Amino acid sequence: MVIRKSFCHLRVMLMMFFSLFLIITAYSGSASANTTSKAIPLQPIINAAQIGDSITLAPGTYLGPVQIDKRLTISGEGRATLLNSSPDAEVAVMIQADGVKLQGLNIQQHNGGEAAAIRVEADQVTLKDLVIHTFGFGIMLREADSGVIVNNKIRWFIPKGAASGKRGNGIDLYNSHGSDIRENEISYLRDGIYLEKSRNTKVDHNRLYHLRYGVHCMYINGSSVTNNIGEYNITGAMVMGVSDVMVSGNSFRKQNQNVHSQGILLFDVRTSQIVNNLVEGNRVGIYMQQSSDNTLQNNMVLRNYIGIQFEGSEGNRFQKNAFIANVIEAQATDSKNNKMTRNFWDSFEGLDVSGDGISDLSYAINPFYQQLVTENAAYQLFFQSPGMTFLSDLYTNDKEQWSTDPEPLMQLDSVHADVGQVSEGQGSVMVAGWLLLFFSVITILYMGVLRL
Amino acid sequence: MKKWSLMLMLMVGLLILAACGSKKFEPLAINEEVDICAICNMQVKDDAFATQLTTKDGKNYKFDDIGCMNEWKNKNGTKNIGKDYVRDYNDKEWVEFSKASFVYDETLRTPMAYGVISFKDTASAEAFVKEQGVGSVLSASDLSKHEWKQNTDMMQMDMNGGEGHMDEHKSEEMEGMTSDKEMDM
Repeated sequence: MVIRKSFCHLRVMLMMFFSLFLIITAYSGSASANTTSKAIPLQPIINAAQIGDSITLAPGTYLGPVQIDKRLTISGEGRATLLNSSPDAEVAVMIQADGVKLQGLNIQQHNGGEAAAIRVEADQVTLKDLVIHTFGFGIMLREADSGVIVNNKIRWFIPKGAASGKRGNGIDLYNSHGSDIRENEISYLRDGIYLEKSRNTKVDHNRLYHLRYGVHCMYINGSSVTNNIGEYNITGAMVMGVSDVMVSGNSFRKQNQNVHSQGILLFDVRTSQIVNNLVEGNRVGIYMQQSSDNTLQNNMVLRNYIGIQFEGSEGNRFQKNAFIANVIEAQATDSKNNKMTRNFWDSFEGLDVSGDGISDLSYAINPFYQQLVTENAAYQLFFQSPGMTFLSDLYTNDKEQWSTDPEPLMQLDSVHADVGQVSEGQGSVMVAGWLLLFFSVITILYMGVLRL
Repeated sequence: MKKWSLMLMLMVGLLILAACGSKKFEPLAINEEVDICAICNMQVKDDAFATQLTTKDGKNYKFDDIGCMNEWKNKNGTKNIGKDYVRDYNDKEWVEFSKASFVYDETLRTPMAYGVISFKDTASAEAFVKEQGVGSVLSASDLSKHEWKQNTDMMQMDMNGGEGHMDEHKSEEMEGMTSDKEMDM
């Protein structure tokens, strides 16, 4: 009886699965039939248009690839989709005329490798409100100046799959100057925004998730990376080989999935401003290497494994940064002549005799552990072991050469407004602790010790 | 019996000696997940630009561009290098640095813009130059005289002008900073 009942159940289950399967296959079958039968080739529409025309595409599916070689405005109002599945055509949309505007279009680029969904080889091109799914690159600019790339969504077809290093870049600029890249959302690709040899580019208010590098800048003097948000990337912002760059107001959080993750990496960066950034929960908050004469100011460095790491960096001004709840606040090797003043180091026990809010004891960064670990990475096993702490304390070689903050702040500035909550939290813990102690003392006093 | 144990001891001794003497250096495979350039920290892609060296202590360093390996040699010297390898541009086979041929041209695009690519023999390097119409073939010893210039800008003239302007700008900003002015968050 029981056996038969369960068998019955099984049959019902099987039936249900089968019917579900049927429905799914029927649905997907009809969907694919739709796309192929109703897709309208877009190129003839473009060919028929006059220079300067505005084309509004009716909702529906269009077939790529297309080549735009005259000044046109093409708008899809968010409901037109362009497919590019023909394997012969590398690029879905090729723009070769100045002043082309493309907006509100969904683009699906089925070709991979170096193939981009949109490739721009002309100046003053506007790409706005596009939704791009790609197996290759998203938007590629080559020798294309003054482009405007605003409010686009670019992502890989399948969120999981190939390693991020094997995918294409979201927005990729090469030798294209003075572009404006704003409010884009890029995810699951290689580098979100890759800039090479592209001067005076503005990267502002972009959201970058699950990428290799969120923003990757190489040789882009005079550009700015501002107010971007990056999470779960290998590195939030990789800034390399540049001078006079502004990196400000960015928030890079949770870059900690890879053994080489960091919030912001500065390599060979000169005379640049790194101000008002938030780096939180990364493996390394800010990693600075072979960089000189930069200003790092008002950055919030929260809950990272290593807050900030300097290597071979000289002549940087490093002021009013706040270091809170990092496992290792700072590491510095071979970094001389950095002007490091008035930072807040939460684990530092300062002493303020004069009452001016500045500790009279200086904060020095002991390079011992870092040097040891660079020599042999396996010594990380001894992290904070009593022996390591003891040896670090013993090591005072060249102490005057260490990176030192001679006037660390006793308390956080009012400038760091959002940190208020954190210190409040610490206060309540303190109160709770005192209460607990009080009650235990009372208990012991009145109840006496436990007698067996 | 005694003879045997003597033989055995001899054998073991020889084995140990052999193990000591033959310190072999082998190029390691690139793991894109975790390998980063020892100089510039960028991910080392498993492509023809990747290079690597192993020191005599058996430490392996990988680089994303041959220029970065050169930078490492400048910093650490070449005395302690066991073997250094570059890759053939065409089939990605590892080649010893000293036996490889190189092509330099400032227009060649490499990860760190040094513009030097490597080949397993002179013939394939020459074939590349012929095919591309640009570049000059160099040997490993020629590279020691190479200036290792990074091509960071296509229009040098323009950049210099731009930089002068930047400097003015910067000094203004610096003054602003010293006057204790706060940037808004």
